Amino acid sequence: MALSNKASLPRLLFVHLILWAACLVATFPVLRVVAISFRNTDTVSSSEQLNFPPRGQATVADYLKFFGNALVPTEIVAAFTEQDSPEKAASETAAPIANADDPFASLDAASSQKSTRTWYSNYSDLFTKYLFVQWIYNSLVISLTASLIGVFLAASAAYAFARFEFPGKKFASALLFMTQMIPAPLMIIPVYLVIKSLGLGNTYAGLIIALSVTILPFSIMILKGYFETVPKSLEEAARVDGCTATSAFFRILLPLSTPALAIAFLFAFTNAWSEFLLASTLIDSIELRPWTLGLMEFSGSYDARWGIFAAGSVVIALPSMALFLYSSKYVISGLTVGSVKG
Amino acid sequence: MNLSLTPALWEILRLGGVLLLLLSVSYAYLWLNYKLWAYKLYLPCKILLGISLGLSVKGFNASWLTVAFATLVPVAVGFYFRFRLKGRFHTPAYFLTPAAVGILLLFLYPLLYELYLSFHDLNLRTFSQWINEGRAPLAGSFGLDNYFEVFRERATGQGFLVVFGRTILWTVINLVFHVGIGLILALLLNTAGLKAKNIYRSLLTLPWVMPQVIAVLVWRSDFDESVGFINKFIIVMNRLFSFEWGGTVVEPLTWIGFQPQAWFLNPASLFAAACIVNIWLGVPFMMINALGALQSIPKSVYEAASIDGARAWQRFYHVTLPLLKPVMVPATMLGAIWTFNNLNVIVLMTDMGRYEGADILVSDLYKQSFTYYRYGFAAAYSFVIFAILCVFTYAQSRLGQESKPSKKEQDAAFKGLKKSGLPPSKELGSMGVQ
Amino acid sequence: MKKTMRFVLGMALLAATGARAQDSVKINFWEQDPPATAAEIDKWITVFQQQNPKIKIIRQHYENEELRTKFLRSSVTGDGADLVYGPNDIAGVFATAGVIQPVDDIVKDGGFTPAALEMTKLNGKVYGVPLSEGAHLVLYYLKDKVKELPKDTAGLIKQAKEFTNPKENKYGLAFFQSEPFWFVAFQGGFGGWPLQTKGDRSKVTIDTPETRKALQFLVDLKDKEKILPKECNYDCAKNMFLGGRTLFHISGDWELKSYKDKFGDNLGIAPLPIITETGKAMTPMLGGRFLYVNAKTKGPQLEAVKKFAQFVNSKLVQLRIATQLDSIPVSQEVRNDPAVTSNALLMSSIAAAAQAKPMPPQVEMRAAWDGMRIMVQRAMSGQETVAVAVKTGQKAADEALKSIQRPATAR
Repeated sequence: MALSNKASLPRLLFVHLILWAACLVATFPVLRVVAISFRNTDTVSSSEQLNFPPRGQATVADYLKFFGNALVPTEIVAAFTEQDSPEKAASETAAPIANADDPFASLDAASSQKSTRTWYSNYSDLFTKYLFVQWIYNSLVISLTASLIGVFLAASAAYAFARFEFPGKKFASALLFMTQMIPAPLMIIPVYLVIKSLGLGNTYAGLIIALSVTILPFSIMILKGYFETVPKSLEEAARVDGCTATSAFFRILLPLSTPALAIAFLFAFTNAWSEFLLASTLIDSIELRPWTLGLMEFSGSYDARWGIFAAGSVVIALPSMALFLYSSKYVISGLTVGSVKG
Repeated sequence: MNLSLTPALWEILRLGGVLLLLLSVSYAYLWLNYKLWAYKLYLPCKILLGISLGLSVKGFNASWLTVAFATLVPVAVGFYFRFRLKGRFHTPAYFLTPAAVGILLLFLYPLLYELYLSFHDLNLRTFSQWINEGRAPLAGSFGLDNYFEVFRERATGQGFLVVFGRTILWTVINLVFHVGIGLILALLLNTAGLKAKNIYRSLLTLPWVMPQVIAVLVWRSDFDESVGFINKFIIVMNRLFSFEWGGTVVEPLTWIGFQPQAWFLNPASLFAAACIVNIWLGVPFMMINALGALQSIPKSVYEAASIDGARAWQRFYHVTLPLLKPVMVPATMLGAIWTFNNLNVIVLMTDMGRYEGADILVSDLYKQSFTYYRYGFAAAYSFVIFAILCVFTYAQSRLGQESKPSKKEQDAAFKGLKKSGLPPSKELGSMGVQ
Repeated sequence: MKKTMRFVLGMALLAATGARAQDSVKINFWEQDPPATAAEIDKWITVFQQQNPKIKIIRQHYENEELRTKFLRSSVTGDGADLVYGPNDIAGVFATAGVIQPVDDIVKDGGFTPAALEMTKLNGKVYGVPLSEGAHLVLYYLKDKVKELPKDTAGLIKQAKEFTNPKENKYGLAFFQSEPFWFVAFQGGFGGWPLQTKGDRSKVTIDTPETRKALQFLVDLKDKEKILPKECNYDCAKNMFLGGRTLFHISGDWELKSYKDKFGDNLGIAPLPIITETGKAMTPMLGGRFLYVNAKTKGPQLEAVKKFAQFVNSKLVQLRIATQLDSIPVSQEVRNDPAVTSNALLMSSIAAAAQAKPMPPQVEMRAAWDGMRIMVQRAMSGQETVAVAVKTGQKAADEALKSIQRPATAR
C-alpha cells in the first residue's frame, strides 16, 4: 500500500494535532459524566468557583488545574487525600428507641443501617438498592428478541422487494420511506390501543412486537439495498436445480448476506436498546421496565439524583461502547465487497 | 434485590405462540384468497365479510374509526386480489405478508387513527365522552379547527411561521456542521500512514455511544451562567488572549461575541447552545458514514489519478467527492429528517420547554399540546409536520432524479450506509416525553 | 371416564382459583415521589396489609408528568391505578377528564384542616384525600452566617448586599428566579394572585398593578440591588447554597431532609419575609400530598381503598409523615403531638405554611403558569420591560386558557 501520496511528517503531525483537539472536544463531556457519577451531591454542576489567577500570571499548571478540576470529582480527591474522618462515624450511633407497640418498629430496624457515602457509593447503590440488574436484563431480552424478529421479517420482506415485481410495489416503497417521517409522539395512543387489544398490555411480548415493527421499515431499506447487489444468477442457478424460492432465500441469499444482516441487526438492536417512548407507553410494572425507564426514576424535576443517574449511564454505556467499537471495526474493514464502482 | 429472570423466558415462549398464531392466520387467509379470488361471488362475499367484521368490532364497543378500519381492510384486500393480483405473485405475497401485517397494525392503523383525531376536538373536557362513548365532538363546524389552530398567531410572537423558520435554520446549521466536520475528520482519519487510527476513531465516536439524555443534561449544566463550565472556560480563554493597550486590557475575542452569556434566558444564545450540543452529538454518525465510503474507494482509482498528474485538491474534487456522494446524499437526507424531528435535544436543553426561544416544530408541538392534553390538536400539528417533511423529501427526490439516475444512487447509498454500521437514530427518550 | 375426571378436576381448579381471587382484593397504587418517600410508603403498605390480610396493594412509581399522561391513557381502556398518590394539581387534570371520583364521603369527618380540603375542591366537590401539606417555599439559611434573621425584605436586602461579591461568585440570595412558582410568592406579597375562580369558570389575572409591582421588585433585586446572579436555575441555586456561596436560599420544603442531612443543626429555616413596601408577608403556594380514587373503582376495591385512606390518616401514619418524611401532617391532633412540636425545623416549616395560600387545583392554573413563566423570563432577561412583559404574559395565558376552556361546539 505504499502509495506515492503517503503523507509527509509535518503533515502527519498536523493531522495528529487536529485529531487530538477533536478527541478532546468529543470526550470532554463524556468525562464530565464520569466525574458526576462519583459525585454525592445529586447536582450536575459542581460548586467549585473559578479560581484562576489574573491576566498574565497564569502558568501552564493553572490551565491544567482548571481543566482537571472540571473532570476530577472532589469525592475521589477527598477519598485519597484525607483519611476517614472520625466524627462521621460517631454521628450514626443515635438510634431511635424501639417501641413495642409501634408496628413500624421492626420495619425501621430492618432498614435503619445507615451507610456512609464514599466515592463509589453511586455505583454500589445501583446494584444493591435498585433493580438495576433486572432493568439491564429486561432491556437485553427485549432488544435481542425484538431485533431478531424485526430483522427476520425485514429480510423476508426485502427479498420480495428486491427480487420480485408485484402491483403496488412503488407505493409500498414510498410508504416505507414515509414511515421514517412520522413524528414519534403521533403513534403513542393508537399503538397502545392495538397492543392492549391484542391482550399484550404490560408484557414483554407487547413491547417486543411494537419494537420489532417500528424497526422494520429501516431494516427493509438496508437489506433491500444489499440484496440487489447480490447477483441474481446464483439463485437462478439454484432454481434451475429445482430449488424453491423459499429455499433459495434461506440457503443462498441469507448466508450470502450475513454482513448486511449483521448490520441491520446492529441498527435494530441499538435502536431498541435505547428506546424510551414505546417502553414507557406499554410497560407498567417495575420489574418489567427496561433500563431507559428505570434510569428515569432518578431524574425527577425537583428530586433528580444526577450522581446515580450518571453512574447508571456509565455502566450502560460501557457494554454498548464495546459492542459498537467491535462491530464498527468489523463493519468498516470487512465490508468492501462489491463496493462503489462509480 | 430479588430478580425475576424466568418470567421473561415464559413471556418469550408466549410471544412465539402469539406470532405463530398471527402468522398462520394470515397465511391461511392469504391461501384462501388465492383459492377463491376467481369466483364470481368473491367480491360481494368480501364486502359482506368486511361489514360483518366491522359490526362485530362495533359489538366490542370500539370507536367508529376502528369499525371503519375493520370494514375497509377486507374490502381493500378483496379489490387488490380481484383486480391487481389476479392470482399471480404467490411468492412475494407470502414473503411480504408478515411484515405487511405488522405495518398495517402498528403504522397504518395508528396513522389513520390520528388522522381521525386531528379532525376532532379531543381534550381534557371531552375526554370522559371519548372514554365512555368512543367519540369526540368534531373540531369546529368542518372539523378543521385544529388545523387552523396550528397556524394561529401567538401572543408570545412564537407563531407557526417563526418556529418553522427556526426549524429550517436548525436543520441547515446542524447538517452543515455534521457533514462538514464529519467529512473533515473522516478525511483526516483516512490519511495514509496515520498511527493510532483506531484509538482516534473510538474516541471520536464516544458522543454517539453515551446515552443521549445524560450527555445533553451534562451539557446543559455546563451552560449554566454562574457555575457552568462554558462560561468559566470563556473567561479563562479571554484572559489568555488578552493584552494591554495604552493602559487598558483588551480582550479581542469579545469582539466576536465570545463572552460569558446568560445562556438560557437569552433566546439567541439558547438556540446557539442547543445547536452546539446537537452538533456534538451528530458528528460521529456522518464521520463514520464518510469513513466507510472513503475506505471502500479502491486505491487504484487514486493511483490512476496520480498517474494522470492530478494534484491533491484535484483528486479530492474530481475523485473523492463524486465517490462519496452516493453515500453522503442519502445519509444527509436521513440526517435531515432526524434533525428536523429531533425532539430530545431541544426538550432537554429548554428544560422541558421551560425556556422559550429555541423551539423547533416537534418540540413546539410537544409543548403546545401535551401541557394542556390537547390530543386532537396534537394530531393535527403532527400531520402538518408530517406533510412538510413529505413535501420536502418529494421535492428533494425530484431534484435528485433530474441530476442523476437516482435508483442507482440510492442503492449505492444504502451500500454505504450498511458499511457505516451505525444505528439510524438514538432515540433515547427524554423524561416522560410523549 | 378419563374425560369426565379431567373436566371435574379442571372445574375444581377453576373454582379454587376463582374463590381465592374473590377473597383477596388487589389495589393498584401509583405514586410519584422520591425513593426515600417510596420506601416509607412501602412500610405503610406492609403494616396495612398485616392489619388487612385480604387486601393486596401493588405500588408503582412514575415520574410526575409521566404519571398523568399514563393514567389518562390507561383510562381509555379502563385500566390504570385504583389509587393515585400525588400533589393537588392532579385533581384539576383528572377531575376535568372525569377519570377520578369525588371522595367527599371519605373525608367527611376526618378532622382535616380547611386548607387541605380546599386544595382539591372543584365545583364544590373534594377529589383528594389529604395526607400531608407542604411543597411551599421557605427561606433557608445557615445559622453561623446569619446572626439575626431579617424581619422584612429591606433587612434581607441589606444583609444580602454585604455578602454579595460577584468576583467570587457570591450572591446574597439564590433561588430559581425565572420560575413562576417562586414568583407567585412575591406576587402574593404585593397583594396579587394569578387565578380567580367563580363557580366552574376561572380567569387568569396577571396584568394587574400588583403583579407589575412584584415583578419590578424581582427585577430590581437582580439589576438594582444586585443580590441575585444574572441567571440561576434550580440546580444552580441548590448548588450555591450547598457550596456556601449564598446567604439566603428560597426553596421548597421538600429539600428540608437533604439540607438537614448536610448541615445538621446549623441549618435554619424561616417563613418568607414580609415585603417592606406593603407590609404583607410573601405568600408561597401550599400544596401537599393526596390520594385520588379512579372513577371506575367500585365494590370491594372501593371499600379497600377507603380502608387504606383511613389508615394513612390514622395518628400512627400521620406521625410518621411528620417524623420520617419531615412533611406537615394534615391531622390537627397530630400537629399538637410532642413529637411534632419538639421538632424545631418542622415547626418553622408549619409556620411558613401558615402564611402560604392553597394552590388552586383548577387545570386553568397551567395556563397561568405558562403565561407567568414567559413574563418572568422576559422581564428577568431584559428582553421586555416589566410593563410589556406583564401584558405579554396575560395575553399568552389567555390564549392557553382558550384552548383549555374551548367549549365543545358541534355534536
